[in-house]
Amino acid sequence: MDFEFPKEFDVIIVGTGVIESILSAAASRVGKRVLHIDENEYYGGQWASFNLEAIMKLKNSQKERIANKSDSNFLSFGNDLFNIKNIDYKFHVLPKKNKVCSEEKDKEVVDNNLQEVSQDDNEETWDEELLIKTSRKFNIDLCPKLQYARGNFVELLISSNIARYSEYRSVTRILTWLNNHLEPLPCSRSDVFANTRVSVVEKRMLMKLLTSLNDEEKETQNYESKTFKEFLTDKKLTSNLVHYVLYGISTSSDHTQCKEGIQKAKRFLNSLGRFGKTPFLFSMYGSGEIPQAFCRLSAVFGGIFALGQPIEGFALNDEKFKSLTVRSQTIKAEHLVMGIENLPKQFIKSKKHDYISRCILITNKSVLDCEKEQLTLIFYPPENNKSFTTIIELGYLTGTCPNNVYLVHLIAKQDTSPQEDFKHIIDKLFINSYHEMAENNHDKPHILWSYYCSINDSNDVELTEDLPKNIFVCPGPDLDLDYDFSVTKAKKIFNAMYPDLEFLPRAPDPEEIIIGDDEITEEAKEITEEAKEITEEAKEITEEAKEITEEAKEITKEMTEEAKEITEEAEETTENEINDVKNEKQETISEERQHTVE
Amino acid sequence: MATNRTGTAQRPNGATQGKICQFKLVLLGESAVGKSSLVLRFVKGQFHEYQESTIGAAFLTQTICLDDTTVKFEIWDTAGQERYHSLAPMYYRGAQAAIVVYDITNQDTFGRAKTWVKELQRQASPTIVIALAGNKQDLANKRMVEYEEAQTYADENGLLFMETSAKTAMNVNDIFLAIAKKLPKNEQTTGQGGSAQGRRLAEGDAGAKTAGNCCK
Repeated sequence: MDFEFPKEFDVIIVGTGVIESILSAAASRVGKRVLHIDENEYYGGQWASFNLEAIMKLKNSQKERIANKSDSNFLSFGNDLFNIKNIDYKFHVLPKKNKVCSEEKDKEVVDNNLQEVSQDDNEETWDEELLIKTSRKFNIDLCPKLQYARGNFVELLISSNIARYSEYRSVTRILTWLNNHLEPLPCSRSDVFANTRVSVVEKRMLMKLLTSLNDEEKETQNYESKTFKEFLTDKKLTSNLVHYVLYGISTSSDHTQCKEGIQKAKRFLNSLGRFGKTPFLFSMYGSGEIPQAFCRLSAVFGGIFALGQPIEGFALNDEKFKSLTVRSQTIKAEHLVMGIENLPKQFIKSKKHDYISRCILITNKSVLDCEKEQLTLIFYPPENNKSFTTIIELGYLTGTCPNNVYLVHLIAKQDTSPQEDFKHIIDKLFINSYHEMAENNHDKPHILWSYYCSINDSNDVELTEDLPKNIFVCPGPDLDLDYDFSVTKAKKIFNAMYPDLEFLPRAPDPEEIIIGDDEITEEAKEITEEAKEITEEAKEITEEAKEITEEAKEITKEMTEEAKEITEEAEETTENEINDVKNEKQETISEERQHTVE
Repeated sequence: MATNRTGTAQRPNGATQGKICQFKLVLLGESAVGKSSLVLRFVKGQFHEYQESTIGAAFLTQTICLDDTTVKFEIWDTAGQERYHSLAPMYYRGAQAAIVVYDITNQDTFGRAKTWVKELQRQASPTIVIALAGNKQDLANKRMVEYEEAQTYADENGLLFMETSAKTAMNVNDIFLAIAKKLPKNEQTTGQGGSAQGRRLAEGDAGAKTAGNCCK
């Protein structure tokens, strides 16, 4: 690639994780010049989705880049503290079936219509070769997320008009593990009443509780330091109901504080009835689409994107970020934003690290068979000191896997290791060995492929005080079901950079855009200017006219007065004259009289 | 929903009219082959020698009437993300049609176009309609890609093919029309919840019927 970047930007963003991408969109949207680069050849970093072959190529650790030690003002990007760990994957199917079978399979891959064959026939057909062949039909999330239909994230998507870039699927059912089997979690009024496992008395209790949660303050008065579980138990709910509310609706554990539990339950309940039967949405083609959607908005507003960039490092000046060097080019910017995995190690204070345990399975059928394909969320309660586990089961319609297989994600706070953390669940819900398969156990889904890893939860990582003030660091994936933490963090950074600017105002719809080419804009500008001038002139003329009118008025007034005076004078004169005439006449008369007398 | 004898759909307000089908169409191709110019020519009938990408436009829309069907194209441009080879795959997700553009005066752009066709064939919907456009036909005297070569390639890969000129408007409407004709219009492609398409989120969108809010 032979090209140069512009030499100066308002902000340079390194890494395309969710928070970095939201910030890219927000800055670009308000007219800031954004350069957004990533060393990876793909968008999303640890928030990305991968096809089957690509996820197996991910490495446990990247090599740390060595900074040019001779210059303390030039730092290299990256650290090895937040890498994916404990990657372990394997196929649970034969590498390749015998010839007769494989020919049949090839036919299926070629002809899409043939994929409609019944599941029983298909169960036998998956082998390693076939899975690899369909690798690109998989979009496997390192960090799968669901969105609350009325959560902060969905509201942001809609208010900023980014929602239109991607498509979503509703989660169609929520299950929970209770009394040694999977059962639907009653979450809406209709669910509660349709649920045959809940007695009439329980239904009333549950409805009453769900309604009362809105009256938060009154309810929690005496539970300041108590757990949500204690609160629920004190309400004299049956153990089944406590389970539904605690491990389901409020996605809490035994130790969740009362206040937090209630807030989480409200978040769930508020999102009911907007899109589909459950409160949750899943972005089609995987959660890795989310950062891409924000990056697209950034590009639409002029942001410049470059993946696969060999970033050499960045320079400080006066304890502030000054410039970045990429492919020997030095680029200046006012601010630098980066994913925490790109931060030089010296700025990371805390040594303690929290991990998220992840397990990804490809299975041959759903955990709970149903006529129609389901998008399933399972809340698996804490059990024997194991953490609360979220399970998401995705089918073909989500665009994350080929037809006739399911992609299953397990997510939990890491306790020991991913394998250990999920063993009890895997054993209960799936069949994972050739032995068990041979026993012809058709009830449970077979695991065709499994992948384990640990992902760093860097949200509580503390940074050192000497981090330059114009460098902003974005943490990686977190345990929350939704992107609430990411939105909050992105807003905070945006406000620190641009306190007076609006965070992701609504982008225009296509109908509102004036096409735009400079000539036309210029012309329009000119016309506007002219119109302005004319208006100004018109104003002046009006003013003048006013003045003239005033003058005219005054003149009229003066003239009227003069006229009056003249008239008055004239009147006086006339009177005098008349008098004179009279006098004269009288004189004449008297003279005549005298004459006559004489 | 009742349909009348000509097969036109009954609209909620009671008036009958032809089917409206909406399709997402994406443009792909190397920088500076004239992708935005083609869109601008098609949507606005304009051409500008030094076209800059349209800031702020996620996509543009244009409708074509075919017999009793109105085809509404949602036309997505790359927003310049292809410049440093960083186009997000999300861009062509769910696209029902694509125009892969190359510049007939530049052999490299034809090679790049082939790469895009391959990418779409592997990654996009299996039913996507792909058209290949050899743009800048007005500069045929500087031609580096032979018409026959491109036609053969298109035939081999089941692509529509035309040489176009956004400058003179040659074949611009025609290529969109050809795509519109080839797109399947039998299924309901406009609404949500279709089996292949997901849901677009929008303000006030509520599945009020499917779930009652139990805390009210």
